[in-house]
Amino acid sequence: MSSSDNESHTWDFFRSREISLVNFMTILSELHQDGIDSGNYEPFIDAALCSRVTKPTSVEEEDLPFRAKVNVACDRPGPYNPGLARDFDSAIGIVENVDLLTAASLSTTVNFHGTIKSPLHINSRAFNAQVRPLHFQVVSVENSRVDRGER
Amino acid sequence: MPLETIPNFQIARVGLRHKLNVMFPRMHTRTSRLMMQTDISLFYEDALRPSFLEVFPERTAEFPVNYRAAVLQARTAGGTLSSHEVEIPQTLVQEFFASLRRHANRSIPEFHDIYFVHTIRGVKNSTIHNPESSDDRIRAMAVLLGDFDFGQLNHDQWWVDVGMELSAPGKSVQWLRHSHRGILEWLFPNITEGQLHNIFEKEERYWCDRVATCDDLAGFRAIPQLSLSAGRAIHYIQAYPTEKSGTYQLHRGVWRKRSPKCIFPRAMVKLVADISEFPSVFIDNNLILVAPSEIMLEILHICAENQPIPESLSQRSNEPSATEEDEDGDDSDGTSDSDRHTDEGDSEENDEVESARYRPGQEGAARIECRTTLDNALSDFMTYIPSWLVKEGLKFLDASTLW
Repeated sequence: MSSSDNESHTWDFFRSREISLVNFMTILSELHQDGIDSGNYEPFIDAALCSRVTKPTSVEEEDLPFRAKVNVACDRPGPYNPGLARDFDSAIGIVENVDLLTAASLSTTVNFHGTIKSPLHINSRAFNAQVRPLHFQVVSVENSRVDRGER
Repeated sequence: MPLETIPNFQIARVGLRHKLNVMFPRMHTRTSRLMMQTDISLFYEDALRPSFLEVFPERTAEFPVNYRAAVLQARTAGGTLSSHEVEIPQTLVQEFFASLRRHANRSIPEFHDIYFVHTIRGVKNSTIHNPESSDDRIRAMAVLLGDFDFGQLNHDQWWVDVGMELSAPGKSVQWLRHSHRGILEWLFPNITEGQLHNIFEKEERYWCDRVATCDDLAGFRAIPQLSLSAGRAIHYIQAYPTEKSGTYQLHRGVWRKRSPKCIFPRAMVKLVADISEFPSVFIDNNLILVAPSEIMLEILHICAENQPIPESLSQRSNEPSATEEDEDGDDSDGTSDSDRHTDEGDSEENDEVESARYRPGQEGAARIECRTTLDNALSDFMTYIPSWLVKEGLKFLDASTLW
């Protein structure tokens, strides 16, 4: 490995230090402000994208540089009593008989956007019966019926 | 069989949020779940149209004579299909779909034994209820299933997404990653260690969704696939923070995922323009931008120094003079972002702005949703939150801290 390679990998040898999310955001805020004041945003970007803290801040003035390892457990827990709301988000029904209290709009053509394609995480019945492959031929004569071919 | 693997198509809708699909269980061996045009054409002529004419003999003219005619009628000049629908009055809905099943059973074997799937999307906040009141739970369910005679529904045929949201004013409430196991133990009182192990070890049954690349903050999705012996019938679980709802889009919009080619010089102009719109989501009192968009803009600016600085950057600096400079045409003189901020904080007004810069932009709740049976949804399932989950499984962050 060449010396330039060594230099380019210097970052990777930063020691890690656990800090709270609040402190990490304070570091980012101060480095961002420092970037605005000085025109040098590199320390801010290093911290924001790679957790590399290279400049002193109010959180950490010594033992620089280091790699910030955010641990939310470092933040002091608060005595919170969260509000609780329960609701029903959506429903899926698998039925043989359709009975509604309102009118329905029947599509005369198929819109494939409405096809169930993504997983609903519900299993349903299907049949393993071997069905002969279909051999249809659509006859292109107006008002004609579809010919069932060999079936 | 998973429902989505069975060939199907949407046959009808009820209002905007309720769609009805017809399923063809005897066609599930086909490689595609989509129906071929030939199948649809035959179904139209063997079952759909005959059943309509049987129930509405006086409305023959409304229903195109064959599927080709229906497609021609629905096709626009641009080649796309517009939605062409005929109304089935409420009093004849049951009769029509019974007739449809009858005609399908007389047709080719692939059309035998069809059944229907109702998919109802809830309206946000329309079914919030007091979890502890069984009457309230029933009332809320009646709202969700308002298109049906609730008392006549077969509960075994219905699944409902039950959601629970935990919120605190001014906070972004997040799930902690180490709480996932406890949440499953709470939802499935009789779950065994082996079953837990199977869920967490299988990639197709458990997904951890980290928040802001932070390891400790994470929601999850899980497909338990557990028998009733585990305590409850739950088909799908999703735990996530809602603070992203301000930027969540089902369509391809300004918050879409970007590819590297978006930072090519010409594409970057559009990207910068889009990003300059981001702050509108996080603005507080029309003054404040918060961190994410600032970070992106700073990086973009440094990546492409020749790019003009977006107006929003001037706005972010909150310098009254910035607008004046723009009006004077000084925007393109290569002035750096830092130059624009050197006088910031000199006045009292700017001091106020400075202190407000990182005020909260986006609050959020921790939400968990479980797809379960109708009976479970109406029971006392998920009607309380265990105290240990509040103390150890959730993180209450100031919204300004997270962003």
